[in-house]
Amino acid sequence: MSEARIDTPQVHTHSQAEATHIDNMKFAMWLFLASEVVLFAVMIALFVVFRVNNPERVHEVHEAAGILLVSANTFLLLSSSWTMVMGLRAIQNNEQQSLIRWIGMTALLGLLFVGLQYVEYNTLSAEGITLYGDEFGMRFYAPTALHGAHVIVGVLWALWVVYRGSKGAYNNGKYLGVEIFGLYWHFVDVVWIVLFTMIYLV
Amino acid sequence: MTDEIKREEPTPIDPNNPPQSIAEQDSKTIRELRADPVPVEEMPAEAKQVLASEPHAEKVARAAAEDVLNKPIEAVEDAVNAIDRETRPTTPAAAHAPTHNRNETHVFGRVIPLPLYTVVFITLAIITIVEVIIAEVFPEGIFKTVPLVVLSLGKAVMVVLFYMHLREDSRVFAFALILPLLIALVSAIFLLSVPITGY
Repeated sequence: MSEARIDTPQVHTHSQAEATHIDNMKFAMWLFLASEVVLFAVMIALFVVFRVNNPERVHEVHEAAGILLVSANTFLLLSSSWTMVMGLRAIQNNEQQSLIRWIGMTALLGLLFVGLQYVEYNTLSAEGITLYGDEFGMRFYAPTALHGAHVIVGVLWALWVVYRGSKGAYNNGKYLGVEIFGLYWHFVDVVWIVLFTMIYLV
Repeated sequence: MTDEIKREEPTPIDPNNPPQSIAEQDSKTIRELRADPVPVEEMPAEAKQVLASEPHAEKVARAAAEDVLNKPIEAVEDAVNAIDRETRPTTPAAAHAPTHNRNETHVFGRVIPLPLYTVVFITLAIITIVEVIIAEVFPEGIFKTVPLVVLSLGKAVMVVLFYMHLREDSRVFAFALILPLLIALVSAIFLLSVPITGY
């Protein structure tokens, strides 16, 4: 007589799988972001120390730069983060054309951000605030320019995702590439959120 | 042939009193079922008699006592119903869909007819406008710095939790942010404690 046995199927809900399984690529991205956190945090700390010790110089720069341009730039980057997640949402719903549109928009907004930053740098240098002008220069340009470089890399990466998307590389079961780019892009946004407040507002 | 199976005729549906569908019964909470009063004409004779013989004052007192006694029962019911509503999947697809892919967002018990990502974006935009206003209007000092720093950290946390999905992803990733931030914070405090001229 054969053994009567009922095999209970291994049921894993989505959330269980997410809670226990760590994707290697995703973890690698987070580790990279951890190193970026150190880099930017040190630069922000250097600026804050300068800000505490030389409030009048920072105030002068704030007067010269004006808040309108940077605020517009902040909105561009916030919007690009939104279009990014909407793109991820689209591909999770298997809407490939929608993914291409959203990520394309992300790239465009990132490009506009870099363009406005160029305008801002021009304005500042016309006011005499330059890289080697005084102690302020490097403390201001190093973090903002490094952030700008990250945005440029992000724009190129976004275009790559758009290209891969147009080749049909992603679908609702395979979107890790989009997700990892999203992590990078949102991190760049987070850095700007902190930079914007610490450098331009406080 | 006599061994024909005699099928039982299905009970005819009374058009004046159609049976409730299972879904309809299922959608009722225990309290709603409990509150469904039995009409007097359907009560057994003994119950009718008791009902008629009870003095009015006693009836009122009994109702009041029942109300008090019902409170803890209702509290437990509410909790059970809330858990039940949250955990009951409507379809297998709905059970697996991530929350951020729904077309509505629940914020403090309100339902907003926008995806979570859009609600987060609008919140971030509003906080940014508030920040700019604070920066322009408030005089220099702690009352300007502290709200600005708190608001910007709040924004950063929102992006990390909702856009980078840390809220539902592995907690391990949180350490990738918290650990270097702690190191940077300690370094910053050290730098701030060093006099401008150095040691």
